[in-house]
Amino acid sequence: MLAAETVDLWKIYSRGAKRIEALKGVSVKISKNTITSLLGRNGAGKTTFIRILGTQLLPTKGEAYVLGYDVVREAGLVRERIAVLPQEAQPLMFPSPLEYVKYVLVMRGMPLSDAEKQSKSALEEMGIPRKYWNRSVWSLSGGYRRRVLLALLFAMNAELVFLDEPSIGLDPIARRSLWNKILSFRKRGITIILTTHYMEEAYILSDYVIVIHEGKVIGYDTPRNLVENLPVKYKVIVLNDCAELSKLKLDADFTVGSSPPYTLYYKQIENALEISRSLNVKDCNIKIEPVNLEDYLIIKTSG
Amino acid sequence: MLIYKVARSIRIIFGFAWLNGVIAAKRNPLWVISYLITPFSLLVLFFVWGGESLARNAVIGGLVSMAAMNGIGLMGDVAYYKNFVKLQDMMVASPMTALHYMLGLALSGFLFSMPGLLLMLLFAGKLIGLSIMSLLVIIIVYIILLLSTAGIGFTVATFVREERYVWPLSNILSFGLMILPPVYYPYTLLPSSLVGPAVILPTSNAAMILQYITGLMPKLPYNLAALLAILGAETVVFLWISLKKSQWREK
Repeated sequence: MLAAETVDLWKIYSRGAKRIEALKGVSVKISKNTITSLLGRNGAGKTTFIRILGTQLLPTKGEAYVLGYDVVREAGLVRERIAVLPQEAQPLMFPSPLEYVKYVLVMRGMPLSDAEKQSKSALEEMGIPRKYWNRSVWSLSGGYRRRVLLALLFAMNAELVFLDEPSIGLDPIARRSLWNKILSFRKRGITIILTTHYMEEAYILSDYVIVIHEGKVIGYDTPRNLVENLPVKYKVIVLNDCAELSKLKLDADFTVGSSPPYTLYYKQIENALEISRSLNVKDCNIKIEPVNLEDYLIIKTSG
Repeated sequence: MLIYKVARSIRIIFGFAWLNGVIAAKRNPLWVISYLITPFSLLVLFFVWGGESLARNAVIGGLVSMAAMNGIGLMGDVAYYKNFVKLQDMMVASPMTALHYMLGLALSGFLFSMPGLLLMLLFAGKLIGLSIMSLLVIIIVYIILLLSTAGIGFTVATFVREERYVWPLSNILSFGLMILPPVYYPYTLLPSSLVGPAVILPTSNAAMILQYITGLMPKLPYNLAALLAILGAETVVFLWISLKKSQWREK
């Protein structure tokens, strides 16, 4: 069974006389027990897409199914089986982590005794030290607050979890710790659909990546395949302006940047190396790297 | 199945009320006190200037105000939960419905106002003398009014995109619902053309009922049953509007 499926999904927002087409006929199938990341530029339609699947927003037309249920006609059945972490969500500040997780579980209909047990086990699982369990959330660091939210999601026993930019605002260590937790979700058989602007995060976590641009899906594959199928393989990043540059930009297969830093993309490593040899390395301050998921997004969505 | 659904709904509503009412009040008792300031300030002023006779009206006005302030005050919570912590967004995607959410908020408002309500009832007992029947009517009217004003607050707040807009709105609504209409004074001081609108306004309607039931007002503009029916019908209408017009699942 699929975790989610959309067929020609459209979302059009009407703001006065203005019509904004946020999704334009999106059709995708997302398998169960996978981590799928949605990538795209700001305003591409990622959040709209997961808010429709999360039953928080009605589509304008088209079909969307979550765990086999129609998100419009069978929203109640969908809501019993999913958990959502909205963009920029925060736990409530006055309750303690234990109170917050426990009572939000009760608000989802869980009996109090089960909620208490689930909360403790989830807080433990998310690595929140016991000494913090009964303090107000406001006394915790940003990283621990995020973990409290993840503990809540974890405790919900959902089959499918939506995470909208879960690691925004976290430092690199906290982010990596969050990745471990997200991966532990999948180990328990939970399907995860997330949005992120961190390409490294998407590459490391995702089984599949869906790239959305201006409301349309422009790429859907494993992160590795997406990168491997790019026509260019290497990039030369030029950090400073230098004399030879303008001529060399003409030889690149794809160029990004109208002021430093410039990124010159090449199909062959030889071309990239030739460029690096012909430029005055010290003046130009260059780096050669293989292309990655971020380059996929830049190449496919810029211009 | 129906019993399971009802039991689950009660659990959901009480879970939210506990989180939003009891725990919040326990951690920040200043909130509880802040809801008492207006009614008790007026009670003190009325008592100083008019003695016990005016203070009796202030006690009734205070009871009505506390219910309405807690109902309207939910606007702040709704806007904060929707726009800042995104709790509403999380709960939309859960078995909680808009009705559960709103009743949970209203119940948390009731729990929040319990200390003030008890204090005001003590004053009422001392200044007016309450029978069991009048006490019962006060509590019923208080709950209906809280639901009615919570319906108004919830509907308005779900359209507010920024918490700061709530502050002026709640102040204006409070003035329009508690100070301007005959809540702290008898409706007989109004020109006759304004009595009809005062009956329709839930706060002044509730105040008329309470003034009458406690013996402060010898007669009502309409009979008691009609006033209670209007208040009850308004509550149903406001709750219905809040469910139908509020932005729970966004379109």
